[in-house]
Amino acid sequence: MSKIRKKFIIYAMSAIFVLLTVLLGTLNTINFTLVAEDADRVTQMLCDGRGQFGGRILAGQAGPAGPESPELAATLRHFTVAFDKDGNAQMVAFKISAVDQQTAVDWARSLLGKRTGWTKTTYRYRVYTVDKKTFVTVIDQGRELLSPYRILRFSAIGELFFLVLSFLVLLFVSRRLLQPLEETDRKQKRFLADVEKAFRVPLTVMHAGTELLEKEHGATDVTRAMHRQVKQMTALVEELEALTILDKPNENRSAYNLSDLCRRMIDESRAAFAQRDLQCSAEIAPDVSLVGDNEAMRRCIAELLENQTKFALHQASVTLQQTQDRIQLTFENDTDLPDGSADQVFDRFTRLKNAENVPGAGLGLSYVKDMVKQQDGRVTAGVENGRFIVSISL
Amino acid sequence: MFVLLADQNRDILLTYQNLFALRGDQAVCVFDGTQALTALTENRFDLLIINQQLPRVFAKQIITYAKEQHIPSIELIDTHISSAVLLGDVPAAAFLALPFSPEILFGYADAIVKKATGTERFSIGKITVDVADFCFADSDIPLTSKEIDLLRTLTETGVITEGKHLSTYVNALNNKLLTLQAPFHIEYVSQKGYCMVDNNE
Repeated sequence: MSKIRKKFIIYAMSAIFVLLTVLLGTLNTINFTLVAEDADRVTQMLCDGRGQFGGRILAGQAGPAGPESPELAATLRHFTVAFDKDGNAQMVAFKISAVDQQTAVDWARSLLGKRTGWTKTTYRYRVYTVDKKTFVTVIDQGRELLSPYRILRFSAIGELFFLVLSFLVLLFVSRRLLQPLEETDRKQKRFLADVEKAFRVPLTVMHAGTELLEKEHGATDVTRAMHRQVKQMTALVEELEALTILDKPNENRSAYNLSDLCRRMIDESRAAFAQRDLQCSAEIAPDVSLVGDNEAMRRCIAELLENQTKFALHQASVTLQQTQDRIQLTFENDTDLPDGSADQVFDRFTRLKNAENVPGAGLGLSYVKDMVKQQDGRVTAGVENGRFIVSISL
Repeated sequence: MFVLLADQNRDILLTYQNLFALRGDQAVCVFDGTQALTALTENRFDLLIINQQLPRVFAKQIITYAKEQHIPSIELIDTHISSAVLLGDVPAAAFLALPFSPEILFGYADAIVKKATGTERFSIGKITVDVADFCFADSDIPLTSKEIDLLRTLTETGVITEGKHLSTYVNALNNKLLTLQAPFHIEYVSQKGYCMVDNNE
């Protein structure tokens, strides 16, 4: 399965899961809240009657809808216990079979100090004080809760079933849906690879042809301009090649010594630094290991070092540090760019002011960003006090 | 220098033939593998420069044939250098990735022809390198000009620190040393550089 399709399915499933959970959660919450509200009306009635039903209920004048049914007095299982200020208990009403009177008293005593709520899952209680006595009324809502719990169970099963069904549908539909997108992506990568290959021979001919012209007729401004453009195009081809390699999925992850890799790459670049009379210093923490794609990191470091050899004015430095939970790799060089001018440096084909006469296509740092992201890291870049700083955090 | 240029692109052949002529060298151009083999049979060249994509006969076959005639080759490739060098089984003295400048090609050509016309051999540990033939002595494992330079540097200074695509060439060399059953390999030693390391260490 392609990366695009995998991501699409994951995001779509996550969205469906969140929506369903919110929707069903809200419905179930409302359902249980309504049951609690009805229960509270009943406990209030018992509170008003000091543990007894009175008034409209006993007179059979209440309507069939809601908790005020005329059958309520007969059907509701409940008890009420009164406690005086010394804590002595007196059973005021006892219409329940699930517990004996003593258990009921102990149960009520455990609820003293509270106000209202659920107890032992299906019982609703209310605690109220009248004439210096504290009354605890407990009513059984087991039957009333049957339906909401059933709905909750079916909601959960239904959600699971719907998620599985959604996954199967997405699996089937996504292939057709994303085919044009995947095809476009493949074509783009193939195009990049073809373009990169197609430029190689013409550039070789142009380079050689310009050289031949100069040898036969002497160097002119035109031939020098041609040399510069060929160099620029060559740099573009190399960067395109790096991009095509990056686009190939690479599952190669193994432990490697990042300190050694940094030192090795710096050593390989010393000649390039020396060519421009640049000083390169390195502070590499020893034995920093990393699990990831060794080759990808090598290319990253090579790209950043090459940038330093191209754009540093006098001095460049590389620092590798390791803290408890992070590895920090920083590339710094002096620059004449103004502070804060490197905001879009990771965009493809973006070149800063100081790159005017330097070969390149503006793909290097964008490539570094993609590479670091593939390694689950972060890269930032900026100009501060005459220093261009690229920092990789892994 | 007497050079055989084998490339299917006539523009490359034309320009480089002229460039070689301006240097005082003679270049013969061929456009496919069959012509290349014929030319190699009929002439004694100092160097073969051949495009990897040459039609009709595989470039590897032509390079192998040239090597048997003690003619070193430069193979022109259109992929990253690492894929060619690590292939290891093409016995070219150098691989040059397109696009390249004339300066680079002539640098390679001069270095290779100089090596090939000498009779130099040097030892590294118990291994002998035949510079003129671009291989390990008494074996058919080919070496590129760059690999010979790296081995020579190791012999003379014991460490290699600088060079483009260094890790690529070192990996390729290590594969060859393993095939040769050499008692050592080349490893990056922290704070030093690439050094010879005994296989028993």
